Amino acid sequence: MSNNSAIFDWLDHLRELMPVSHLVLIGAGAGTGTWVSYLRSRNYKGVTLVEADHCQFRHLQRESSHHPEWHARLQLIAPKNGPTVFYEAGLSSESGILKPEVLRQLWANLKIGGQRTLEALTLEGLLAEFSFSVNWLVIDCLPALAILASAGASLEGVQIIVARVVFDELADCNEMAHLGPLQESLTNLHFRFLTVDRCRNPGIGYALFVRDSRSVIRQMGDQLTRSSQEVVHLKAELAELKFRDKQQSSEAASIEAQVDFLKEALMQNRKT
Amino acid sequence: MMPEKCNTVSKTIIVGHPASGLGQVESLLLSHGMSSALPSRREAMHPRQITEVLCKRYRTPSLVSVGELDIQQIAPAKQWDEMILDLEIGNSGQEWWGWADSACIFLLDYWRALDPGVMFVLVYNKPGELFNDPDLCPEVFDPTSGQNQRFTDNWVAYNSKLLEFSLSHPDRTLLVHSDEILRDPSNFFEQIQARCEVPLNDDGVEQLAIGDINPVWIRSSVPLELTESREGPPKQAMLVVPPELMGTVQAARQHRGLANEAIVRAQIYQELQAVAQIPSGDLPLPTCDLGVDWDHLVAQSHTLSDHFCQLYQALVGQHHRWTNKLNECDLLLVQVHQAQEELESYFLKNNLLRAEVRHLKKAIVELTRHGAAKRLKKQLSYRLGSILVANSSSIGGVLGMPFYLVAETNRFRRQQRLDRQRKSSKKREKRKKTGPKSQGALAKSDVHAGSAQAVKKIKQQLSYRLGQAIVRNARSPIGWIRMPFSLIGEIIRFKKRRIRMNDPSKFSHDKAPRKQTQVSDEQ
Repeated sequence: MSNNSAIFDWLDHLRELMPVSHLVLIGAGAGTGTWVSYLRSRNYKGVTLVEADHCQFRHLQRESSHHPEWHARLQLIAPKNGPTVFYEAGLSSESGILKPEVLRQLWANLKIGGQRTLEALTLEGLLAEFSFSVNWLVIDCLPALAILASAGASLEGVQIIVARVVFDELADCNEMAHLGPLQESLTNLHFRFLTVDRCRNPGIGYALFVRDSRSVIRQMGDQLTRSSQEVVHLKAELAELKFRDKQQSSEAASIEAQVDFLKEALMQNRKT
Repeated sequence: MMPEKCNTVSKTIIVGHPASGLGQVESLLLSHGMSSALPSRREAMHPRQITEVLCKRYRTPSLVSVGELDIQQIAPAKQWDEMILDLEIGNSGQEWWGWADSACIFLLDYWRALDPGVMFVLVYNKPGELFNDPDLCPEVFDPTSGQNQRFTDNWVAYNSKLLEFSLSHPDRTLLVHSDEILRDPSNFFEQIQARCEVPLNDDGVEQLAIGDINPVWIRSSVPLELTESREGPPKQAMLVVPPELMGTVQAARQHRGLANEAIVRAQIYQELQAVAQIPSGDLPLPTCDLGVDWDHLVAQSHTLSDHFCQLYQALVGQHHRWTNKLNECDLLLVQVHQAQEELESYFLKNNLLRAEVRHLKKAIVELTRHGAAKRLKKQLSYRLGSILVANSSSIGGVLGMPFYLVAETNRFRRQQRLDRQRKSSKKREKRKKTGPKSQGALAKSDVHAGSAQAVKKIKQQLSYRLGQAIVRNARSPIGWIRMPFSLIGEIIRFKKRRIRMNDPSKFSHDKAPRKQTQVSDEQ
């Protein structure tokens, strides 16, 4: 992806409509990649850069120290909390929780380095640690869907998601890295797919999702309708119950009258 | 998955960054079946010239300064297709031909679309080779001048484009590492053969020697005059950190910038390696380690710099102390020399004085030895005798003898009077000074021993004896009468003595000479 990618133009416009309160970039690398360069060039404030590779993190930390409102975090983000294997690939941008072998169709000579077991945190856990709300999320690693799936309800405040994806034509790759399943999943979470931008390697790219407000409103409308229907139903039940209650009250009154009459008659008999 | 074999390939375009070694790849192919491109038939233009014309026409930037945004594909108008057709006609007799041209980076899509028979060999190399190319990179460049950024952008932009094109059209491209090809050409030829049927002559494929690939080496100059050196191997880019930047925040920032650029280059290189059909077999370039290692290097160099500064301070201090000590030693030496010279001068003076003293002593001895004799000769008797002897040889002398004798006597008396006056005045002066007696005075015994013999000798002389006779007989009138006889007697005795002395055998029974009484001169 070049520095003048279309996705950046989208983001520049979306920044006006949905200002960044805080942005989290997962997989920031050494700080020399396209995303960090973009954020630096556009002077983004309130940025947290997350990187799992300690070697790249050291450089990233120094890069982020130039920006007072940027933070660097050494952390592996994975679908589950706890010890997780981190694979080192010959191409440092492909190091992650995905085995490098599955990317051989993308990078024919991709060499496999070592692997380490790191203490991982889910995306939900990461977002919960922030005292401020995160509304922009960039996931520059694979598989993006697996990471987003671990976010749970914490994605409700997120308005923009950019995820690294593998395009569907590479069937051998982990499906959690594909665009299709990610698109489906995020649509269910009321995100709208806007655009995709391919990298130098045409099999990999970035997909841009934005919070679909109309979908949210539609959902809320449906909920409202259902709620309204429920209310009507309950009202009817209530009316019926009231009528029954009234009926029973009148019956009770008549029975009481009869009981009183019978009591009087009995007393008269006794007197007589 | 290997792309399908293409049977229509007739030409190969070798494209790569100017520092990628594409010339060597071209030479390799030319030596193994590929024919060199002939100029077009009508215009007689070589393919590189055609590229140059198109680039000029469409105002493409210079290859060595091009950045990512500058590498845009040219879409020449239809009118230019005739030039290509002309080129094809000029090379129609060749089964397989090709050329290498870095500037074709702007025409990749054009050639791909124009001719399905083109196979692209995309050549890349390690980023460090960029700095080893003397045509592209000056021998020494300064990180503060922004050259490194320019080189990085240029290299990254060019090779990104190559990578992109290769990934987009894997069936028409062969992405290769130039060093790996030269190391093992057979693999390269196999790849070519697998893709297209070309008359490749791979018999006797030899591994070409690759020159030493010198990576960029970084030197930081230490801020010491004593150790600063700028010598280095020729034609090798040397990154020199100016001394004034060492140990400053700006330096760290500059160095980090260099590390960043190195990481970016390494990232692109890794991608090329991951995709290439013939990647390099070398170890992958580290990416993030560069930054870490660089920081360590910077920190280490700062520590070393501080350490060197301290050592230098200590050395300077030591040097000052030694210099002071040396100066003191020099002064002492000068003083010693001066003292030595003075001693020598005193020694020489002493020697001279000693010699003078000896000389004076000798003179005094001589003087005293002959002093008595001189005094004796000054006596009246000797003087009168000398006059007698001197004037006795002529008649005039004999006749005037009495007058001479009287004159001499008067002269003697006058001299005596003057000597007495001089002596009395000297005595008065001496009494005033009342100095001790001279320590250099001769011993009395030495005086007498030296002079007695001289006196004796003089007393034996005729002059003295005659004088004595005159003085002795002049006191009385009878003496005057006896004087001539006395004189004659002395003469006879003198002659006899002389004869005896010359021939003792003649006078063995001679009488002993008369004892003569010394008449006092002071009478």
